Amino acid sequence: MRNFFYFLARHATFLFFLLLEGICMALVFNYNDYQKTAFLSSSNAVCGALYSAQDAVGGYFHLGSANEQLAAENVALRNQVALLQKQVALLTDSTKLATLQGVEAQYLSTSAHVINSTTNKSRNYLTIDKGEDNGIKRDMFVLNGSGVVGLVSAVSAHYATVLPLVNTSMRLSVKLKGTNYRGQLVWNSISPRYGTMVDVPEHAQVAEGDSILTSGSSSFFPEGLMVGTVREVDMDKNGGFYKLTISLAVDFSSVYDVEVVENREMQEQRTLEELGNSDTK
Amino acid sequence: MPNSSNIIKEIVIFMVCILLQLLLFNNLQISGFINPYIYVLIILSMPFGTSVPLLMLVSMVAGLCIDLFCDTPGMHAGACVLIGYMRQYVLKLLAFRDEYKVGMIPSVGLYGIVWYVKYALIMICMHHIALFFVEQYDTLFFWPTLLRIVLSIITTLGFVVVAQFFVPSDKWTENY
Repeated sequence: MRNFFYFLARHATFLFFLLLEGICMALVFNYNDYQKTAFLSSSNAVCGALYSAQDAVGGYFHLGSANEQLAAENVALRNQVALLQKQVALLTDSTKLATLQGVEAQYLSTSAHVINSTTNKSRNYLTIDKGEDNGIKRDMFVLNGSGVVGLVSAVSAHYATVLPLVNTSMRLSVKLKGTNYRGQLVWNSISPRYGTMVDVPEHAQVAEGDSILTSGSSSFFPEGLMVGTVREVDMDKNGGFYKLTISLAVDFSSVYDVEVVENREMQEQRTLEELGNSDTK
Repeated sequence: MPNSSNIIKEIVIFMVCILLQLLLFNNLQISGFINPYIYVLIILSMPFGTSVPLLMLVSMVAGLCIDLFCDTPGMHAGACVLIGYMRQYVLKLLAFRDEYKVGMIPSVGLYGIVWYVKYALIMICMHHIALFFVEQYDTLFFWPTLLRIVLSIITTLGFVVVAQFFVPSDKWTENY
């Protein structure tokens, strides 16, 4: 016993080091639990306030009034183009007309501004200036005029953190437009402009320029939201699957105006899926 | 022993480094591969003779501050605690015949640029390798990570050395 205490005393510093590292690693590997509390994330009040202030200063520095006007106009035009494209697509594909009515009732969107974002790390996050008080909840999805931005991962009273497509821990189920071939969109942390689509079976017909949409196979995103276009077609080294380089529709380095959308039927869908799962066990 | 003017100086360095990191360097878009983490300067600039547990605690707090804003709980803190602990061995490795001047802040002015670059390089390498390794532990992409580590180390080192010319140096002349 005495030797044990001698041992402790002699290696106190090293043991203290191990203790601190242990705490850090516990934080790293339990991250998803902490996200729920929003306390240890950039959506907490202190971080949000600092980023708001930064946004206020930055906006003042970088954008003259003329510049701002142009940006706003640009966004409005892009939104209009996206809307028109969607309408044209829906009209040409008449079978979807029926689902359109359902969509209006099922989804509710709120507009927000991105007050902080990074694209140069491997785990990038966006912070937006709307939170619980504005009806934002965890797991809502985020879009802008060009396409899918990401998923709300943590919420405080006035701010929320968004997990964007350009984060290596993001996996999005996507499909090739006009087919049912699905794959996973992952991000390789090289450039915020490109993602990688994996697990597309070899017999799928893929060409450069094909559109990539959300597949709707997760309860988070509805089917058919724009994600990007195919830029390069490669085969997986192990064979059997394509590895596609995707040009992301959203320019993550300049994303500012976003829409946060609530799927009001998500809870229902999840409960049902869980019921189904427990039955098959 | 750390005196009161040193403590104030350390607090200023701490605040300035954290704010610079968050407001400037985190937004620096040089290339997707370069993430300079200049806030390691906080750990590099702790005075000689700081007790290792205190150094580790300061490192951990600095790391947690960055983690909070980057949504990476524990990652920066872990890398910082590591270099906080390893600093004693790095200093031992780079020791002179004379003892280090206890209570002085390590700087270019104190022991010259060659010594400082060696010191900073070893510390930054350990920090970045630990950080990027933990950050990417589940990733499919190895080579981009390696390139990212190397480029970020070089950039951080550059900024840290340049920062030396802005940090008020200890009155080193009277020690020579």
